[in-house]
Amino acid sequence: MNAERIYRMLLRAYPPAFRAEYGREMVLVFRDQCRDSDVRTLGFWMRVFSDIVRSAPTLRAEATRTVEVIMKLAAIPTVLLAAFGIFGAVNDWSAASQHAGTYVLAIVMGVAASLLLLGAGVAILLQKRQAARLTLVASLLCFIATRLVFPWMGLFLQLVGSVLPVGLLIALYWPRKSSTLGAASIALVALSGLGLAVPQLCRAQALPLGRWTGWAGPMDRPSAYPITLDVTRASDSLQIMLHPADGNDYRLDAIRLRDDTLNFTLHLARALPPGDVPGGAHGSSCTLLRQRAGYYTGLCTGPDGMRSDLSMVPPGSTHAADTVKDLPLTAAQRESLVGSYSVTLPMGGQDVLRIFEENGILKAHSSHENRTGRLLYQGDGAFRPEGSDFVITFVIEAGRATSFQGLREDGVIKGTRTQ
Amino acid sequence: MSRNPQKQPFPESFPPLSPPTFHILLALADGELHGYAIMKGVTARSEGTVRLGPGTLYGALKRLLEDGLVEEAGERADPEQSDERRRYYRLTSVGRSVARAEAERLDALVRVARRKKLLGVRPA
Repeated sequence: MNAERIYRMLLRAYPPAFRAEYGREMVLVFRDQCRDSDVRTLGFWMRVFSDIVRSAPTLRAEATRTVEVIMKLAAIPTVLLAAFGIFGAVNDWSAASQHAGTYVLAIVMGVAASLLLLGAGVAILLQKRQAARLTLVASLLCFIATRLVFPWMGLFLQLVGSVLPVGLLIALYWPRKSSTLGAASIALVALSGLGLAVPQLCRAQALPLGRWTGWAGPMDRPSAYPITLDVTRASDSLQIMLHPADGNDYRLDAIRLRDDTLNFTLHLARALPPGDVPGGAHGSSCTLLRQRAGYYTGLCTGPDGMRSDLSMVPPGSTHAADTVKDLPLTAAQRESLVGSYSVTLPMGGQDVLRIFEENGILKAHSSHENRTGRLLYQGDGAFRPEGSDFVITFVIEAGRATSFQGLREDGVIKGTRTQ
Repeated sequence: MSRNPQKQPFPESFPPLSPPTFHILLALADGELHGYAIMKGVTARSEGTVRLGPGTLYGALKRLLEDGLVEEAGERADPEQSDERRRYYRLTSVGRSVARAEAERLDALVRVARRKKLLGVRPA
């Protein structure tokens, strides 16, 4: 391979446009250099490589103009995201069952922020930098105000509304020559936004998706109405359906999860015939608090002021909800459990649990705690010791309990029948 | 002709120039030259201390063309080199003013250096 062919290959280090304009001239110059120098020396090729290494990256950087390219690429999704924001606000408005004052304000300001973002995207595409800056600042201010009156805004909208304008503003204010720094700053802002979003993402995970269980019933009475709930996520919002035993499903609207408090309203899922007045829990406002064990419990207040207990237990939880069931047991069921059990406690301690029947009520005595209390039947072989916040599940073999297991706050307890 | 006619550069806004750029302008101050002639002129004028490779040379020429300091002067063969047609470049009036401004800036610096006895006093 001769020197000129090698040099033609090395020219690929330069931007294509530059090569097209000056490549032929550069080869001619190189040919002249070859004629006037000894191409077989290391020094000659060192000078050739040094020249390419020093000049090609600079020319490539100039050709790319990183920020300008990023700005144009960012402007198109900005326009699309802003349009999506407007569409989402309108959709949210039509889907909402009630329009409170703050909600109306949030929707109006959200639409304004989206419109301004849309304008900024168009201004960037038209290379109207000053107009783009002003609309971005206005959009950001509008978004911050929206976020303040509507704190339960979806995570995706929060990212779009805050990180995008800030990133674009930095890029627009950055001097042209510092294009790499400008691009780096945009990446930094995006990463910061992601960092801010992570805690929110974690909090969103605090409401696990899937089939939940729970109980509902009039306040101050043992809840005897089991319910199930389906928690799903559609785009950036939660969707929860409550299924009572009577088949009248409820939709949870205006779901707000802030820290450990879950708020929502209940609405009948099915459409009512014209003139039919909805009864039951329709229109109830609920406030549930997250318990240490991970489940939620609280109160629902109906439009007529009627208050009800409601507990929601996430999937996979072995803890009992705060509302305790006390299902009836047959004499045979009680008899199958009566006996003494050797218990291994979570920290390795030992206990002896004696289960006995007294006046048709199943009770348990712990020698370790020297305490006697009722065993409340929760169904499916699970019992809750009265006054505790955990359940134990018995293994029944040949009509007789042989062992049990439970999960307390401090770990697993296991019991094995000894008598 | 400048490739960027919308730019109307002020000569005093360009200095300080990079050494390769100033050397190219100095080379072109003598008249129209093609790339290799510029390179040889720079090497000779700097007594070998500044050597422009093709990439550095044409990268600088590209910027000078964009800034309107240099313009193309057509293509023709150089009888001393070969019969291939080469692109020639020449200074624009703005380019000449910029070169002069840079030379004056350097001259002022040299005078300061002389006053401070950093350089020997030029014999009368």
